[in-house]
Amino acid sequence: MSARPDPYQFDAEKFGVGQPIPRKEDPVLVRGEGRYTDDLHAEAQIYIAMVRSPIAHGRIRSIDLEAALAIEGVLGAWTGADLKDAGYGRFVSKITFPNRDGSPYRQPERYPLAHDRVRYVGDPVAFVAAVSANVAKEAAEAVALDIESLPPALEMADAVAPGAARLYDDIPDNVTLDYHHGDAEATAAAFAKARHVARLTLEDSRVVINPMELRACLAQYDAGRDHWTLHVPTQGVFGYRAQLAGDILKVPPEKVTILTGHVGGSFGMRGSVFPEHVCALHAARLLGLPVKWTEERTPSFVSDTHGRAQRYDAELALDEAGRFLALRVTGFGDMGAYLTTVGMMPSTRNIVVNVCSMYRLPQLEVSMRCVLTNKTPVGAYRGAGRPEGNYIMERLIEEAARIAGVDSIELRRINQIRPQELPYKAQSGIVYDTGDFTALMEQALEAADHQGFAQRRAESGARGFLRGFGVGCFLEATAGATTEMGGVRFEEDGRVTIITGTLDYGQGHATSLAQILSQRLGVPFEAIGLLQGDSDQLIAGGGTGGSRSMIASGSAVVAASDKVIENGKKLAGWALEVSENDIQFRNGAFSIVGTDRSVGVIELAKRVREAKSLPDDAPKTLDVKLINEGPAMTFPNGCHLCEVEIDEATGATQVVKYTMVNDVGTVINPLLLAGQLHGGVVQGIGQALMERVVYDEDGQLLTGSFTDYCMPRADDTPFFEVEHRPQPTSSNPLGVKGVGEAGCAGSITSVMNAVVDALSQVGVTHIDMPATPAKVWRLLHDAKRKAA
Amino acid sequence: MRRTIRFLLGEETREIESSDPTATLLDWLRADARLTGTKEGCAEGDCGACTVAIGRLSGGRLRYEAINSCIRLLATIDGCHVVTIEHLKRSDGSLHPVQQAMAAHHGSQCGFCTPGIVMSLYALWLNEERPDETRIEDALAGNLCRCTGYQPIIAAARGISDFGRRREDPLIANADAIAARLKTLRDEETLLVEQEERRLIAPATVNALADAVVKEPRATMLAGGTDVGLWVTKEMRDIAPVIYLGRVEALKRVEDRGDALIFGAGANHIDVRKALATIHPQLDELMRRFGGEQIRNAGTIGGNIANGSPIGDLPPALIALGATIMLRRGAGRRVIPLEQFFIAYRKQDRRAGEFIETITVPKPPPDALIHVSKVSKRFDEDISSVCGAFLLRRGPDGLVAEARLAFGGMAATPKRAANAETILKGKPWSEESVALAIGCLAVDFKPLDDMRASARYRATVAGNLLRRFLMETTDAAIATRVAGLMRADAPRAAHG
Repeated sequence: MSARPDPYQFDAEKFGVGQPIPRKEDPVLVRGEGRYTDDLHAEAQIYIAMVRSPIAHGRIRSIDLEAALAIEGVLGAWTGADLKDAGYGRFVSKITFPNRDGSPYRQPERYPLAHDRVRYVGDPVAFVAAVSANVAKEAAEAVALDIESLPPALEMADAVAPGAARLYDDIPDNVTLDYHHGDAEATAAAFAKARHVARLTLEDSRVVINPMELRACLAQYDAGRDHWTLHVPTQGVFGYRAQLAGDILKVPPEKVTILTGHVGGSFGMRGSVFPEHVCALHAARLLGLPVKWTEERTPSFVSDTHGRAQRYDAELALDEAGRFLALRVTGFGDMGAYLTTVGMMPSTRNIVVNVCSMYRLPQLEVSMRCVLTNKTPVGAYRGAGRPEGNYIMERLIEEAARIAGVDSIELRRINQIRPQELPYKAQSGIVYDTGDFTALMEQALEAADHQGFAQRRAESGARGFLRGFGVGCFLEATAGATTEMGGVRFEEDGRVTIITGTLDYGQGHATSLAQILSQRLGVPFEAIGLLQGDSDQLIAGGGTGGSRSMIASGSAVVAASDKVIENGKKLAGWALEVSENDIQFRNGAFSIVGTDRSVGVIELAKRVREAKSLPDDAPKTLDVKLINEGPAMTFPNGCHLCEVEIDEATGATQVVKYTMVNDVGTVINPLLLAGQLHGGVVQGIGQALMERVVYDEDGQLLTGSFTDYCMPRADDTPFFEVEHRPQPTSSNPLGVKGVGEAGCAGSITSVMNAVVDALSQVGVTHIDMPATPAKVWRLLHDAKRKAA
Repeated sequence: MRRTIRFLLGEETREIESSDPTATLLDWLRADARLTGTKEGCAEGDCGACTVAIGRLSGGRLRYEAINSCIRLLATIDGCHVVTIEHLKRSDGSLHPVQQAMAAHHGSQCGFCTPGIVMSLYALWLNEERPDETRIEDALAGNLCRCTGYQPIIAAARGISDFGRRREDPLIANADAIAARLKTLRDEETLLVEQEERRLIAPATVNALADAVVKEPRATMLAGGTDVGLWVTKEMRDIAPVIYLGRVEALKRVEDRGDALIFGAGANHIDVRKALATIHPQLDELMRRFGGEQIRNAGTIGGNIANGSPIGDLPPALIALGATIMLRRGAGRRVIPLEQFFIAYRKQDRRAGEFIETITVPKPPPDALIHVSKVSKRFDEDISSVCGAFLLRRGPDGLVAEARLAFGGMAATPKRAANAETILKGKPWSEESVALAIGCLAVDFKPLDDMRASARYRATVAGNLLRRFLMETTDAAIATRVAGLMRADAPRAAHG
């Protein structure tokens, strides 16, 4: 009945790298057959519900569980003190940077649950286990909290001021890390001789991450084996297990199995252990039953980690020719009430390595203080410092162009690193290997019809709209080298399984990694499966994050394929009864050079498996499990060009044209690539124009639902023009550069620059994210009043 | 009295003997039927991850609608056909055209919102083979996706018919057989769902309903459940006993009597919108912005009124049009002007044992000037900060003969601006008169400061809406709308 062929009937030649293959994942997901954690159901499972602090800061006087325990169907209830006494370890930050004076940073103490103080609205303090989710919820409501209210520290600048409320007795200024990078004197000298200095105070606004799948877990404990099993959405089971077993449970990793099924989005949020997971494990051990926990959306707004939340004074020094002399960033990163595993990274090191972007920059100084506030803890969010760093640079370039009276695109041309200058060592200390930044920008300007903008602006103006053109050039440094497992397993049914320790939560790894393996080993694309979410199967795993999956797992699959071929030659020699030196591998088969005798790779695996005996010096299997040393970080870059229209009457901003040209290295699957870019761009548009986190003066989150927190919906998103200009890197065998976070880096920059450009027509030169209608309208109104 | 909930689940007939009367359809699907394809994303009808299609007989015709299963009580699907993502499965294992389109256009990434989006698109496609962009955006306004940026989903929605013909879809091809099966599930018996003295009563006829309400005067009256559902999922309130109105077919009627539109209290927003659109396009626009498609399919005109919310969007419009409601108690009936129904904050003139049976909306004379504005922070899926609805008639002398100025969000109830109306009477419809009326608004209303809007903002907007009314009715060339249908070239990001 189909008017078109079924998209899953593919020509076998079209499976390789570079092909726009619809995803292997989709037939399962579009049928609703994805198995997310809450979809699991264990025999006799029970449920827990959390008790959370209703206030932002306070001292726990007592927690009365009696009424909760009296409810029929309640099986147990525990407080933070109970968990601490049970011996569970602490959540610790994994960042290693020292303070600017060389002293170690301060690690605030965090046990699985708050036991003495509560530090944000939503801070978990106790939990209840019951036979049903509803009974557990009801019982959690019945827990009586006696908390002495303390004044909160809410804004970063206030929290570091003398006399501010302290979140921790041993951290007097609420600063965990006083981070510094660069040569202060040399930077000051560069500023002293500058012709122009652009200065902006910028805020990278706090956002609620809001993956569509709510956090959840299913915990089991086998007393006989003293073994824990936790089904939980993560970004990689191997690293998650290391943290849970090592830091929290304090048991050897083999005592713990982490299983991750389908994951409904993460964007950085699910990178580490959450308190609720420990609670579920505790109840499972004490009650001997499987324990399910699923968050609800209302508490998730405060109990998930948030993203971004940084503020800076940023300055760019230029000489008379418009050449950048130095960049100085001084500011704060809001940590919220506790440090998450990598919570300090986005506002410190990742600013340094990304703020330099694609420009020649002789001096750089970055001073950032990581500040504790009585708000939801901040963790990684799509880019985790990469969009933030690029945002600082791109906003400063526009400001510099304005004060110097020059064209901002020309300013970029002057300062962009040229291909012949590569490799280029940036002030971050990082060496860029590839990129053709100016040519890429010119291609984008052409694609976006930059020439025609003046006319489009005039047309918009005639309709009462202020039109703005925004440039967002970016260069990101992806995650640094981490070891990654490359596993290839030949199954008895003829299928081939890739085993690796990154984790898919929407990226389409099963498709892209299969394309790589199919191309390398010549095995049929449809026969390839992917295993990522079982910690017992992994010997290494860096997890997903920092746009690393294709770099790390893609390279590991290449290494594993090479090993299969190397071992396969020995085994094919045995199978075909010739010397391995006479064997060549081509098109999925091992053959004797100069003959038509051959054995296919899958067939060979079968014969090895079924062999009664193999030569002593031959591998015993064609399966491969190896640990690949992580390839170096890569530098995806691009130029996004956004046009907005602002309604002068209301301040409402709409993205009306969006063009992007990206260099993410080798393109494995253009369909998936476009998907990553679209999604990232729209998340950036959400942050730039709509998503606003508002706390009241007591630290209560006012924007705690989808009604009040404005997420992009279908009619908010523009049509995108997407082009690619790949410059494959030689730092990994595939030439890939990573794309997961690029969309955000391109969009918050280009959208906000477009908004500022539009507003500049009435003399407004600065606005912070999110540029909501009310904020834009206020600026327009004030500007008009001033002019009148 | 029947004590078994009966419905079609996919191709099966399900009969449920006893259950929690306030269990949601979503919880039942996931926990009892173990159909876990339908997801919970927010449990308040905002994100659409829980979307399923519900088939029901409407005037003898089988009709499918997307609804939010998270806030729909299981008992309320008695006599309906529940179609979940699992039921799109085809015997030969191939994907349904909607699913093929989603895969071909890369409309799914993490896949969590995907079942809900597939079901929203499926319900749309069952009703429209080639929907246009606006219809697609409206159908998706109640679905959130954090991964894709939506464009691939919109492309998929446009392209569904490339992958199959609608008339070959099993629900269309077998409509007669399904309708026949649903007919056998229908009866005149009152449905009683009871567990440990908590009960839900769902009468099938108006008379039985009237009896039930007299007998259970304190019962929670449940219609579309788009608000009451949240009392269950968000506030954990025990709403039992419950009387459900949705089985009463007669309450769903929409009748054009020539001089007036008569609505049964149970008519849903989709049907009400169609009828009100014939009066004025701004009424169509107003109702387009009631929640998402799923909410409009479930919510009813009677519920929007009886709920008594000061920011319900229908009451101001209906008050401006001079609507009356018929309240029934047992066999007795009384008719009151709608504005008299609202006494104080969440307190209505619904006496013990009464329920709203019909709403009568007189058609305004052709020379009447009408205006409706909803002002909210964003276009879709938002709650009004201020809603204004006005009707004005001029006499043969050109002076204002009648003004009905109704506002929502300006007081504890939907309310007319009595002083402003009075001052306009006998005056020319002019800037000067409007300025006087605006001055009166300060006497008519003392709006609240809250997180949706400040009192000052509300007061300013209310006055400006009167100005907008004047502009729109005196100079057609002036552009007064910045969002929605009124100006195709304008942004729709915010305001109304």
